[in-house]
Amino acid sequence: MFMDLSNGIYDLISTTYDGVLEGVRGIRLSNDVNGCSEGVLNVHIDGDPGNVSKIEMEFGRNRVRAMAFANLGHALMRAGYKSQEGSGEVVVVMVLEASVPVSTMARAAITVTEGITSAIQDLGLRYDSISASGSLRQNLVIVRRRDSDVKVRGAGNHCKLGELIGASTIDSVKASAVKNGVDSGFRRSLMLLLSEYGITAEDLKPISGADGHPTDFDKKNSDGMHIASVSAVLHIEDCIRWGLVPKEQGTAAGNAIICSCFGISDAGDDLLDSLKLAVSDYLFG
Amino acid sequence: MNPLISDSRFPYDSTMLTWKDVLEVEETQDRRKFGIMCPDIAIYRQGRALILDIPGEEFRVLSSGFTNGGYMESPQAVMNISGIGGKAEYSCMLGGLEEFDRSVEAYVKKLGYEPDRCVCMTTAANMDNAILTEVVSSDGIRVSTVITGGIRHNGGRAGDPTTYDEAAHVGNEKSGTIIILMSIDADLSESSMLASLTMATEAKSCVVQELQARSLYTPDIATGSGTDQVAVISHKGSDVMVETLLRDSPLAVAISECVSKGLRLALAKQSGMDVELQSDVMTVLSRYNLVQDSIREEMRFSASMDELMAALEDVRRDKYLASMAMGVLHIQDDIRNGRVSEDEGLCAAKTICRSAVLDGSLSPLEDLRFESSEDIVELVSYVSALKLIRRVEERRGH
Repeated sequence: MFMDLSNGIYDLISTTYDGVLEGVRGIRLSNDVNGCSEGVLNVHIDGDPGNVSKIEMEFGRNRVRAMAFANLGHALMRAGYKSQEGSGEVVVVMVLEASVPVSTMARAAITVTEGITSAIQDLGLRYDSISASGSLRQNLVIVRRRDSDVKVRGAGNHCKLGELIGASTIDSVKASAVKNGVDSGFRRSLMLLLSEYGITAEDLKPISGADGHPTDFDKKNSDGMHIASVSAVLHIEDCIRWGLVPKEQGTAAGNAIICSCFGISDAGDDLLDSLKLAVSDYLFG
Repeated sequence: MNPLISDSRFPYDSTMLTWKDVLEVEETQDRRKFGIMCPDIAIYRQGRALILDIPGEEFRVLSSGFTNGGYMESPQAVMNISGIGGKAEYSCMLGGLEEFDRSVEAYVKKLGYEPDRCVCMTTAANMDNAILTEVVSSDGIRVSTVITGGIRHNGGRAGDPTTYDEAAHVGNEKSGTIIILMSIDADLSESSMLASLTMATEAKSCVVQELQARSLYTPDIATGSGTDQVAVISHKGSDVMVETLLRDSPLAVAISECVSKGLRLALAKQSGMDVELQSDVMTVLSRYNLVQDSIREEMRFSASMDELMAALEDVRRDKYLASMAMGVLHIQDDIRNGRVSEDEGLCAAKTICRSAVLDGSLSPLEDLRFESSEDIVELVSYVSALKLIRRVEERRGH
């Protein structure tokens, strides 16, 4: 997938290229290795270039072009944590149709990074019970148009250019993620929610004493009311882990949600154990 | 005056106090050691500034700051400077960014540094509230950060709507900024410096998420503030070369850990944004604009103001209710993000609120109002009011 930059004088900074690359004619996302040849920067992606998304946004004289590849099915990570294994990555190319200093390009990199995190949070993506903030492999390219008569310095969320950078990052990442098979409906299943905590149907069956899947399994597994309640409990579990609420009160609240939504009378000292008990009884009991 | 920038607090007045007046009388002779960042970068407090005094030529900086930002070789110093505040600070804005540049340049000179060789960032935070942190990666690379932060009044999420259009000179900025100055005792390539800047940013957004700090512009959780800045200092003289920063490398983990530790403390110190405040049920509810006044409008409480305030204090300390509010409002987040339908989400929220918050006890009138709630925010507002009056009754001994 190619972003044509031959209509002006463009420069870029990137996590794949050292320094400021001046006079760029285009940017390609492809399966070729990272590099620059004849004014075209190539950024390697491990996937189908047909799944790249492109978005343009403008407000008044502010205009951006975004190009993203987001395979969020695997290789998720949270900053500072061990990453998920597998093949997956995010690449965002952000073209600012404005003449800005390099400092503003760096600030745009901050906004793009926050945009990627926002998209991943909006999609509710987790791995190994951890809420993801990015991908193990993540690269950015920030481009400015040096000959533009729009001369600004702000690229943070507080200004229109920054708003466009953030919004176009979120939209392009989500659009590419959908092409790669991940969207908001990805987690519309109780078992998928629990699988992010390493809990499988095979773990639940013995708890309820079931042998196989009941005939209404699929219907119950995709029931929105129960998915919403489990999602609420898992969020409380996150808040306990982050130290935001004390374990005792958080667990009590989570257990009360489980008891009220799954119609069970008693739950345990551990929210995940309580969820296992309730969901196994609901799906297989 | 820039006619398109206005601030109702400070109507334009040609005799108004300016930054130049302040600068003339400001004391900057109070230089004192604040700490040390790796590798042997002395940090000083002087006047309104926190100064990283760069020792020698073997350093390179990448910064998103307005003053000498971008890549800079061998800077004399990297600074974080508090704004003057009040009318005098506003006078900088009247002249646009050029006037702002002049004010920073003049102040850096007054501190005894060469403005062209200093990388500067500015914020509303007080430099005495800066937090210095050092972490050593598992493969022995030292990382230091010195962070100031206050986003209670300017938290935002990427893509949030804004009114400030710099290209058209319309609108104004709000104060509230996280500034991360980070030094890494390794010789990083320029691309790795940019990757370090993004790694620090991602770690920042994780801390903001863990504190469930709200965006001031949407019901979303913030990812930072609109004016956050980062500077990365690389030690060119180090024997350790980092050509490519792998995001799961020990160095990337150390960067994240350093930012995470420092930022939590900085947010608490500058603006009181700590676990206690963020788990206050009223803070949790405020994300969806559910505040004391709006909740009190839900019903005509048969209680005195003293009783209500005492009950509210009780409720605010109740971490069970805070957890419950976090869980139920998360369902509303799921609805907004298309993960659950509105009907299904509301159904779950009603089940939870009826049974787990109100213990199932509702009068016919309460039940009618409860069931008439058309969305989760309306439901939570009413349930909060009911919980408040229940708490008043409990305190009366009923």
